Amino acid sequence: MKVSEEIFNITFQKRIPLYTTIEITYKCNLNCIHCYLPEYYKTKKTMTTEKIKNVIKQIKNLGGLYIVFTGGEPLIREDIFDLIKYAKGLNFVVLLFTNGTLIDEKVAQKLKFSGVDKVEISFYGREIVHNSITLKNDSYKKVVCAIRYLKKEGINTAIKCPIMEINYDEYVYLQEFAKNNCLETKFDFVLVPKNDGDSTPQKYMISQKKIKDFLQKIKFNHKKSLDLISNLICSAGRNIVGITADGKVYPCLQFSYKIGDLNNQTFKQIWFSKKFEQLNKQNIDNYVECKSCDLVSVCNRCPGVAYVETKNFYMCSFTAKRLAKVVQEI
Amino acid sequence: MKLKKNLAYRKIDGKIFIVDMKTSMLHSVNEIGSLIIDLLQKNYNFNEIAQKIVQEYDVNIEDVILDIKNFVSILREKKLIE
Ligand SMILES: C[S@@+](CC[C@H](N)C(=O)[O-])C[C@H]1O[C@@H](n2cnc3c(N)ncnc32)[C@H](O)[C@@H]1O
Ligand code: SF4
Ligand code: SF4
Repeated sequence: MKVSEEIFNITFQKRIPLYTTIEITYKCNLNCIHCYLPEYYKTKKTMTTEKIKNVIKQIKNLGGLYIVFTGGEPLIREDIFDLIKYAKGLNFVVLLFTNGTLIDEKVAQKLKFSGVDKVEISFYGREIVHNSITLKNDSYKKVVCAIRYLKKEGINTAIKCPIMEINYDEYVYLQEFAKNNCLETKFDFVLVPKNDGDSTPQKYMISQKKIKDFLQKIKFNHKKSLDLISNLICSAGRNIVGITADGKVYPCLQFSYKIGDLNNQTFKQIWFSKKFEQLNKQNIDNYVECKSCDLVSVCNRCPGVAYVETKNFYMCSFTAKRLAKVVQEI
Repeated sequence: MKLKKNLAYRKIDGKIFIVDMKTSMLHSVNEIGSLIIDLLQKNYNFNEIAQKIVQEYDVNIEDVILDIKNFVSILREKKLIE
């Protein structure tokens, strides 16, 4: 068994929060058309530095190994370097998700000094297209500079791009850009609804035909799995957990089924709470539709998206079904 | 002698898992190896580590010292310690 499978299996079975995503702010200097964060979240009260550090410490004690800092735009918070340094001091793998526009030479140096393990930058394509998604005219130029500064510091950097109708043709450019700059690329074409259920972002999703073309072009090879359990039961809440900037704990940031609140509970209390226990009691029988669905072996359903779509995380997710149909055809 | 500074690691269910983001490698260390690493991190020398192991397991101290040396040379080969 590969070590990655070993660690995944142990933490999945023993329910250890291996991988935590912490949103540290709702604020952002961009206004991306597809963003899942509602505009009005920006005024919400967010966790203090000390609170976040305390939560990270508790997660370490429970066996956590990976921390992702995201937002909003995490680099808006001045304590971000301190938070990264703190998590590194506790021997976490630390990743930072950013739009890149706030990274100048000095910030790149501070990131290097903080010990961050990897920076993932959202990059949507050539200048006109990128700026028409972020709705900010200098954002493309800033991202390109940010990548240069990060590379100069020797920081492991990846570019990340949701493929939408508006930037469908851009992946060729991004792949070329990544190749020339020795960067890892991550493409996705699932757009999730906003955290409050508003489905506006999903109107930017590409058509099924384009998804098929794209998957064929990148020679996507879906490993068909006949194991119903691994296909249906997601890791969210088992070895993955999501914490929002206002201190709420969710199985995953994409799964807006609130489990607890760090403003009046410890992380440990939440992790071992009844609500989490109940969520983890799920078994195949809960998935009435999926159990008898002929797409189950190719479906990559997300309970969080199903929950937003249907208010029931066991039901069929229309987003997953759309994608599964395409995967089945290729 | 300690694990390299930039490495991330955690003891999970009795075993230490080490992530080397520079090489994108994930390593797992068995129970005794994990104990050795724990003690190295606390600045114990080979003799002190061997004595601790002898207290916990029914083994011969000379063999243990040899095992520790072998284990450490594997860690060194994998560039996990400094
Ligand atoms: C919410 S942002 C936070 C970090 C940072 N501000 C950034 O843009 O990278 C994290 C990632 O989610 C992506 N994203 C935003 N809204 C999305 C949606 N509705 N569906 C899927 N991904 C989305 C962004 O493109 C970005 O890559
Ligand atoms: S930069 Fe990130 S957080 Fe900000 S609007 Fe864009 S996707 Fe949302
Ligand atoms: S298509 Fe719908 S019913 Fe079928 S496996 Fe996916 S989520 Fe379940």
